[in-house]
Amino acid sequence: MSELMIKDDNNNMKLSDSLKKILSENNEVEQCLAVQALGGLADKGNLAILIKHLRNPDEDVRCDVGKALCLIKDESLIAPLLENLIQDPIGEAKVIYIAALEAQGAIQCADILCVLASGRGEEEDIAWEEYGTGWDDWLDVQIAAIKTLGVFAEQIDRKKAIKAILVGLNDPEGQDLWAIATRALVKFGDEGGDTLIDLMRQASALKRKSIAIALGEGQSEQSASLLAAAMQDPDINVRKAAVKSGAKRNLKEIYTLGIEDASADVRAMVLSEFNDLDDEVLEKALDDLQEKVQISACEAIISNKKLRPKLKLVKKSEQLLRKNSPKLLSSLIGAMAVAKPKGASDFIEDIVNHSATDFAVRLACLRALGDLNSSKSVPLLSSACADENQETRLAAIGSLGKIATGKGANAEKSIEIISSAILGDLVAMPKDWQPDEDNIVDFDKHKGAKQDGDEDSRKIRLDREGNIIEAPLGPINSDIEIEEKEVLEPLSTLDAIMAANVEVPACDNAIQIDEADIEFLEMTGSAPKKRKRQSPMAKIPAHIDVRRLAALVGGQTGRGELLEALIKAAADSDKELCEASVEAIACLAKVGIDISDAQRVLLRHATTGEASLSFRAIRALGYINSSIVSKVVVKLSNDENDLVRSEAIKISKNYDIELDLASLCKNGARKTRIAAAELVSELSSDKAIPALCAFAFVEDGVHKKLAAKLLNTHEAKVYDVMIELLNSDEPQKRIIALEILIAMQQ
Amino acid sequence: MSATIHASLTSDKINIQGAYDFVADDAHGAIDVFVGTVRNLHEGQNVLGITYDAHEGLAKNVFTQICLEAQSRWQGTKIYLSHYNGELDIGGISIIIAVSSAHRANSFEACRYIIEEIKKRAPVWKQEHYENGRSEWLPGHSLNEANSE
Amino acid sequence: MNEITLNIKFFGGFRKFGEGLSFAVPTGSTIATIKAVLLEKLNGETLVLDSVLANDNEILRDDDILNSDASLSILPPVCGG
Repeated sequence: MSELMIKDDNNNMKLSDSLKKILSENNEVEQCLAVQALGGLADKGNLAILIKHLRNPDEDVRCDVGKALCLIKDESLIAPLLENLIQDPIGEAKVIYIAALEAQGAIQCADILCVLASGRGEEEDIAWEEYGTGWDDWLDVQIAAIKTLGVFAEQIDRKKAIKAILVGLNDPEGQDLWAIATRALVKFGDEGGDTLIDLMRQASALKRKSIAIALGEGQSEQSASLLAAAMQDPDINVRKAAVKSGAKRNLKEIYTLGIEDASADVRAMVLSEFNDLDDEVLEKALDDLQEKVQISACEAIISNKKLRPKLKLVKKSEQLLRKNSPKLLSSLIGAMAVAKPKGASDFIEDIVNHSATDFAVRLACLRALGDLNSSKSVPLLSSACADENQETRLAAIGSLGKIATGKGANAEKSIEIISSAILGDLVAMPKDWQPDEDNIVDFDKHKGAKQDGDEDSRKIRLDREGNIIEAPLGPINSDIEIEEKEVLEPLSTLDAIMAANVEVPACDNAIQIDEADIEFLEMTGSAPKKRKRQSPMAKIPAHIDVRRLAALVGGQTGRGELLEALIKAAADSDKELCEASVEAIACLAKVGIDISDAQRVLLRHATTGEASLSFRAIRALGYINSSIVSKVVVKLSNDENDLVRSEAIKISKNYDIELDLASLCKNGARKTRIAAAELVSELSSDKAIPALCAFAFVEDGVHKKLAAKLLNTHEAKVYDVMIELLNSDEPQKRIIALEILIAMQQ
Repeated sequence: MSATIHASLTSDKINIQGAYDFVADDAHGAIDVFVGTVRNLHEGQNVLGITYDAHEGLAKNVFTQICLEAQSRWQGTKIYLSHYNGELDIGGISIIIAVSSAHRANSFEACRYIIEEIKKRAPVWKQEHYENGRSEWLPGHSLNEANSE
Repeated sequence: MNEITLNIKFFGGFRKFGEGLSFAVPTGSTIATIKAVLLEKLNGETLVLDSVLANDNEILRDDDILNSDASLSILPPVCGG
């Protein structure tokens, strides 16, 4: 809620009055919402009625009152909350009262919390709901009590509190409280620390791990010593938890102990958890006997993003050339790209095209060349763009794109190569190659509507040379239904290439197979065969994917020199290339490049293309200030496709045109409504507020959260409307108005 | 065998008798004639006349195509269609469609079909001339939709 | 760059711009591209978006390609009868 709102006492009072009226007169649903809204106002003038409704017969209302009282700090709330904590039988409500007491800083409730931490407190007449065989709410209350005792640790009787927590912890019939209890004990200073030391001695590995995790939240030296002790624990999971906690607190001692640990996993974890390690430390880690640790050191170098010219990464890599460690070598190369030690460029240039170089290492080299930007980077990357392997091509183009964002001769040369790639000059199209029909831009597809029309014998398809692709003669009428197997497509190229696909046996009742089963099956020779799933992208020929990626990369460079090539590519018949090019043109426009030369091709796609192309083109057109575009925008704001319409509405603010936004806010389609609402919220309050209120009510208030966010920008004036709705005779209006008010307060 | 379809675009005054005579047939017990005329009011404005515009070549093709379709659906009908091209005063005849058949149902239905299809597909446009001196080309059916069906 | 010349005849609502228009486009342009050019030449007249281009015999589809000079007609939404 805006500050201006809170300061307007008159509005606050009127709003409070309406909410109090609802609270007094209406059903539980509206009462709950009214209570939430009153809490959001955080007005002490409303305390009396809220306290009154701590006795409301409906438990949901009482719970909401408890939550509301978390937001208003006043001493007068402590007594009634404490009373409810004892007398309200509902466990969920008790948890909320504890939270409210914590918010009040009510340390006087510590005694009751101690009781609840260790038992149900029946001797203290604490009321509980009768329960049958269901979940016992006391556990939730116990957890809440222990947590709050920890919050109050500095101010209460520590011994008493610790004793109560230990009773709960050691209850043989109780639930597992170790996580919450240890986190609370850590806050009890030395007494808590001593308790944890005792517990450490007798606890199982899992419980010691809980202690190690909890110590991450401690601040005392004692807790730091305890962590150091945990680093000597025989169980690796305890030590790993201690490393994480030590890293959270940036304790050098933990680092020192961890990096000398017997387990490579722990040593590797130290490198990944601690930040900003110095060269000496990293150098040592790079000499570790275990590859896992060395890789972790490389990852630390990469994530740190610092130049480290003195690191002996090159020497290390040269030593590795005789060993078969492509994974480590790839990591070292990645680290070299960031650290930029002396000799890195020469080394990478030498091995990138070497016949003995492993594929993964080659890829790492190509990526590194983009960062190192050495004298040979560009020619090496340029030749890799035409490689027969798709990943190689993509890595090369990506690196050229990186270089192109910089300055100097390399950047200019990269731009030229990317331009050639976009135009299709870098990788020639093979003779007699035919495009995949699914990727041809079909301008006659009725936007947004599905067609049965592929059987239409009159349909003519043309390839990029203008030759007719033979269409089936006459309609296809078949009574035979051919069941198609659903082919699950991977989400990305990397996902597809790297994923292994276990062939699931074709039976109705699928069996879950885990790793232990696989081992057994392998012993018996019955293990299912692993098959790599090939991505559909992997089948795309070089002369196409290079163009597509070059177009996308070109957009990211922010270089206007690529505009001409992108315009030509946007006119291609390959749909994905068009999409990539149009996106790229929009990216260039976003950084201030004048894209007026692209107007024609963008208009073409905006007005005649498929919806997926059309909306991209409209987005790009929004950067061109011309009367033609503004007229087209008006037209497209009435398009039959929701996505196209919404994009046109969004860019309409760049032109001197008036759309009927109030009607569009009530449009049947969601994207259109949302675009219109976002735009209308930028107008004056007298236009915006009624339109946004109508928007809020559409589809039973599906947009109320967004409406609340947009209404928030209209300060005090919106509350007159809200008050009117809250006073309405229609329950639906009151409920949605309450929900909007609550959303506006969040 | 004499023709059973006449489809034309004309700048001459449309002749109702000619249409009737063309479709009349001893074996047909029903003749349905639709005559479209220029009226004097459109959306509250007084109309003085209409100018018709048409793409001659395509219009004739489309008229013929529509008549063939009608005849294919309502077998045994004879069809006369003529559309005016040029300026017409109030009361002037813009279009005539005459259909004959053995029984009345086919005549009614075929005639209806033809006029509705013409409105959607024929490359013909009309410009109304109003009392206040203004003229306006009327909105219509986009051939974009017809083309992609 | 090779170009072809198009003569576009106007009908219906386009007659306010005259009898027609001639202009050049690159050889191999699609009908969709030609419409975009026409949109520009007619200063954003959005009637173009609802219209089709046709030759003497048939209405052309947006992905049809022209490789030589042509005489076409622009046909706005129809309202015969």
